[in-house]
Amino acid sequence: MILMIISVISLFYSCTKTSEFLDKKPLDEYSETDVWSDPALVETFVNMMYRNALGWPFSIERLSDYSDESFFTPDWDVLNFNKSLMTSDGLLGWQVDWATPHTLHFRWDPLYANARRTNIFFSKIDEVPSDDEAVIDNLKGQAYFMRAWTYFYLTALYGGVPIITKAYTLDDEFEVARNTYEECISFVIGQIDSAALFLPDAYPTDGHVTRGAALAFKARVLLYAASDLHNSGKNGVVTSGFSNPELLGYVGGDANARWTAAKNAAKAVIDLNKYSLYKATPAPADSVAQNFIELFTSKGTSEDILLQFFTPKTDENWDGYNPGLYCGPNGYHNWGNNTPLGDLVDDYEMKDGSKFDWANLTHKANPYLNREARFYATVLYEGVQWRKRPSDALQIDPFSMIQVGYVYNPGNVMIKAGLDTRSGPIEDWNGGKTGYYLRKYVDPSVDPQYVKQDVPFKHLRYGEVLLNYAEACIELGQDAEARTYINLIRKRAGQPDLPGSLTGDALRQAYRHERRIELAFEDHRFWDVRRWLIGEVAYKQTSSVDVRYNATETSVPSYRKADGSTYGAPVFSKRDTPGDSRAWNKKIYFFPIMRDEMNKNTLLVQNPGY
Amino acid sequence: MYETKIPNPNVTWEIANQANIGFDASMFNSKITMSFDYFNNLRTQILIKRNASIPNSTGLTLPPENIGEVKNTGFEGIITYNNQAGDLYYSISANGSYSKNEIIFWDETPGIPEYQKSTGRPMGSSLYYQAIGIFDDQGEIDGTPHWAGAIPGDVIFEDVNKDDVIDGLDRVMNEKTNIPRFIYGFTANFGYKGFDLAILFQGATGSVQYISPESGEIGNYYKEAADNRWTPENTGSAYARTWNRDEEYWRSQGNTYWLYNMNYLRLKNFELGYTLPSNVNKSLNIEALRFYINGMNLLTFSEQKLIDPELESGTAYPLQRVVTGGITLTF
Repeated sequence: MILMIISVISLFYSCTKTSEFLDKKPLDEYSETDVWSDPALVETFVNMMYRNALGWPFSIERLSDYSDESFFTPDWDVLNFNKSLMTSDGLLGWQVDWATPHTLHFRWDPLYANARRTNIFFSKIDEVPSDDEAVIDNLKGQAYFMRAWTYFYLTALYGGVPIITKAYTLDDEFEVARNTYEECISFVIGQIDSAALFLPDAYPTDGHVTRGAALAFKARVLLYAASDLHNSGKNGVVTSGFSNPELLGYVGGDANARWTAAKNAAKAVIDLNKYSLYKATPAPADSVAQNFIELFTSKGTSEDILLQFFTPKTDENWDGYNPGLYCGPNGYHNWGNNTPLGDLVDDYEMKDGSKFDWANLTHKANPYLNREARFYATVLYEGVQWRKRPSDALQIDPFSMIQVGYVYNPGNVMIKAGLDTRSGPIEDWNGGKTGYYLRKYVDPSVDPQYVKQDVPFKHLRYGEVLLNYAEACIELGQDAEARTYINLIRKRAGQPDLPGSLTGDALRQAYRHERRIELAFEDHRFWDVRRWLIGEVAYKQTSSVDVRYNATETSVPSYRKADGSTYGAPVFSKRDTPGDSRAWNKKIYFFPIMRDEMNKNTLLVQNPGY
Repeated sequence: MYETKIPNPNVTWEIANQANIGFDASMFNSKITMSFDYFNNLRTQILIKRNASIPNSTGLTLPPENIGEVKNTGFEGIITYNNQAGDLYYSISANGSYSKNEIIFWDETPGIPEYQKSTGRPMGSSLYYQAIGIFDDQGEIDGTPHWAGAIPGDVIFEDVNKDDVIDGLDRVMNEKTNIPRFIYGFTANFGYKGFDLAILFQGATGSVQYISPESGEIGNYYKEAADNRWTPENTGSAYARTWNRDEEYWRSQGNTYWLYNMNYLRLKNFELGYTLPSNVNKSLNIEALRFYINGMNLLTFSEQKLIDPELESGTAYPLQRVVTGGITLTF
């Protein structure tokens, strides 16, 4: 009594039949045809290139965390990147993809995706009907600029890369070899020159690129290209044993001509007479630090050449930007990231132009006395007055003064931890590890726990142009000219002029120091330590500050006494930042092309060391 | 405004060839009933993106194309035995379902080794470094290919391709996913005079889960891993040293140290009841009265003790053990 059922063998196969009522346009997307017949839509397409080219400089994890500027408190594998452990299988913290860090866009894939946007644009723009040729020209100028920007950062990361200007379709041949570094720079400069032809001169207050931005960017590109990292006479440390040095820099050629081109490009911006340093000559009554704070919380000044604006409308939490929340102290319910390293803080000069030195007992007794103005505008440190604490913290600290130290009793037992430490009572896991918090670019007038600030990021500013000019002059041996321009920067910062006796390599070092301080946290140092070939200086065990108070009591009710005084004088000492032991490997001068990309495109040559 | 994807004008329907053979039987006056079903499904023209083979330098956001091909084979069956011996009625049943999913064609990155290919493996597989132990001391690290910066207490990754370097080529495409291959169950029902008893066991084998807590400064450790962790004094441990978030390579790089077998067998349901005989009902002037006690998830046998094996995620709230007792009274 066995029943056996053989059931269905079936085949489902059906096709669509096109009929008109099914042929609807999607409601949430525009068709290609619609976009390229409407200049207004084309403009929104171009706008998107900005975001993908400029990235997210105010994101939770910043470029400063990857050089000797700051420390990223929650790690996310940034420490391992800074130990030079990246390989062609993984970029470690650099590619963390769940919080849109700035570094996420400094990679092959997103930069090439952006290059494609420019390629599509140029393949279509001549079809776009418009009554106003100026509108189209302006769009072309922006797209040339963004293509230049995109390829420049590809080149800064990888050296020479394939120059791709066609908008691929699915049936194309995709394998393509790398162009030489020289070809890439020539390409970038060509794009910038085209951009400068099409772009308007208008003073930038709205975040769009202008002719001035194109010229200032050109100065940066030529400065980088002239630098030691890309000069076969100087970059042997990277290229020795590598069979394709032309991918990483100029081989042969006239280095002096390259420095001259860089110098002239910077001079071209100066000669526009369009830009000027903000409060270039501080009035005697001015607080120079306040001038700097204004500059970095303003929506645009005479100094700004390319700004990236943010609106507080966007409501994402981990993504995008929120510097006040991301960088602020945990004692304000902020997240304590991007904390300045002791190494950077120690590099700020004394007000009189002398160097700060831990071995100087006067300096050590109060490291934050008589420092230069830019220090106060950049760093939050022990005891400095900051914005009013949130209500719960205000009960613990009615003075709203930064607390990064610890109180010890006579038995050497820690009896009270500062609010802004990793042992503090508020969100201790967000406490910084360096004893400092970042102030630059943070708007003190908003409460970042609840409100996003809307300060723009400065991608290009006149201060950088002057420094670029000075650097090219130094490399050309024109020391007096270089000093003149560095002194413009120092004058605005309230620092004395460099002595006329400073020449040659000493001047070069003074210049590099000035650039590190003036442009701190503006996305320069990461690239500068590479192009100057000083990786081993920048990637080592970092330092921070230890602050302790030796109380005579066995226990204390609060960090400061009711009258605001402290339990004894603070004792400051320099110490190693816990866990932040960085290490340099020369391969890190250039990024690896990822293993999968190498496999997909067999014409590629890998960078040395990977 | 940006390009969401490039057009694929050739897109068409996926094809599914489904074949199965069934078998139903009833024997010995229906004391034994059984049912089996074998299936062999072939899906072709599956829409997938050629992300693995097209270089990213194209900048393309790829559209799905009709290229994937996947085979699903397996069987399911149930067998039941019913009988009566005096006042004892009983019914015992076992069921099981096995299914295997295998990729016949997929977009592959050219030049990758066989052990990294998707083809021949189930959909949803991932590449993992192979964890083969814990470094006990510096000597062992020095004598073994290791991840740069490894220290004692770190997880050992296998040098799969024997090139003395631990890199992306040592990752292996896993054969298992978080979907079980074999799901099975047993039920038993007994009745004796007024008593009734129902038991349900269920189990599954062949799935794995990646459980890697963000421990350290921001999170906790699993107790078993913390108590037995490697320390200079506790060498030979199967558990690595303590770690902090993503700082260790064996936390940030996907590897089998964190893969747990989710095989389990669970007493899912147990119910014992007693119904009063009808003559007592009459004297109480009621229709029926039944007392019962019921338990759910009473017993679980599982290789791993960290999470509930029945759930598909280590972070989901575990199933609760529920014990209820009750009276059903009908007038």
